[in-house]
Amino acid sequence: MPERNLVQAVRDALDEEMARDERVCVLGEDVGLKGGVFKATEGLQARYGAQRVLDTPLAESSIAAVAQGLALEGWRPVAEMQFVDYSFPAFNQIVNEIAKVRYRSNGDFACPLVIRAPTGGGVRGALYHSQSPEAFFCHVPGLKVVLPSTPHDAKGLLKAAIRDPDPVIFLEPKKLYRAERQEVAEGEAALLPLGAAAVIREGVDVTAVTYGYMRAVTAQAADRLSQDGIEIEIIDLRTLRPWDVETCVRSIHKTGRVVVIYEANRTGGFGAEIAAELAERCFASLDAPVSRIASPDVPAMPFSPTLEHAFMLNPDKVADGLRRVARY
Amino acid sequence: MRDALMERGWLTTETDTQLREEVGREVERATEAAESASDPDPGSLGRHVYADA
Repeated sequence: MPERNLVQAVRDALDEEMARDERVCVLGEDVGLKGGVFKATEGLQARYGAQRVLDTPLAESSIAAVAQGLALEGWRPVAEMQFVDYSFPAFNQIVNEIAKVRYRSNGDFACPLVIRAPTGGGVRGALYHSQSPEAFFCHVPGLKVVLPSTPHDAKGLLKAAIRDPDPVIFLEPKKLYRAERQEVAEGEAALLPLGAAAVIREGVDVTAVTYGYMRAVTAQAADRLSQDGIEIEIIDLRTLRPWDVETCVRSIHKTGRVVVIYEANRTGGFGAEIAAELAERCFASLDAPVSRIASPDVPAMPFSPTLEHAFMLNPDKVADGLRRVARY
Repeated sequence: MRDALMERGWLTTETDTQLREEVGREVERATEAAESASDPDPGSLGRHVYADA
């Protein structure tokens, strides 16, 4: 199997799906000639032509609307927002139109499309290139939301998202685009199901539920705690809507403690939904309050490196939070 | 818009009338169908959110 980093895995998934299905097309700002701002679509226009790899104007609402129209006409569009921060001008189109097509037509029409977008901070992207707004999309019935954290998962889940009959918001942690290389399967062997979490580390003391870039941070924290005799079980959700509640419940029945770790600011983050659901489902099994470790409630990622470091979660912060719950 | 289309010769009075009558009939049919339909089962509230529900 070839070794790929995350952005290469995304490109491979697009390439394989475009080769497999002529209805799959790509559109977005600079996705064609330039190959995307992060090079996720590099080479695709040369291979599949400008009709299937379409450079669009700088108008995110239009990108979403054109993708919707293509989907309604039988295409399988994959739209790219250069940064998820830029998707907000398209919010009306996504929430009021794309998410509701199936429901409002009583199942007569569907809108199978993918909107890809880099997400998250830690890359000196400052205010408009660092946000983690997954909770906005997770709040919308009709949308599915995926947020992978490894090249393997990114490829398998993007292929599944493209084949899914419903609209999928596919968020890619930009800090991980070139952080790690791993062997990634090809073709049908790469496919992964949406909605299935992965237990990436087994432990008996605390369940850590996380996703995206926080998977790696939590794993480093767990390594440190293991030296102190505290064993953390880490669950990477991978898909946030629908999310894999049962895998989390099984783990909590074993550990009796759970901490939710997410990069977005704390209040109203998707981790709050996870915490609420697990508190309801697991109350009788819990030996400590369900806890969250998240970023501070400030309006945006500061540009100052010092302040960015203060905003971002790191292994020290996560280890402190996990240790408190383990000792409760 | 109608005047602009007619000025350019892209729309005639006859076609305009025909289109309006067709649309009117379609709206009438849809309205009658909707008004004569029974109220939906409250249990169907969660249907058609996703393909498998």
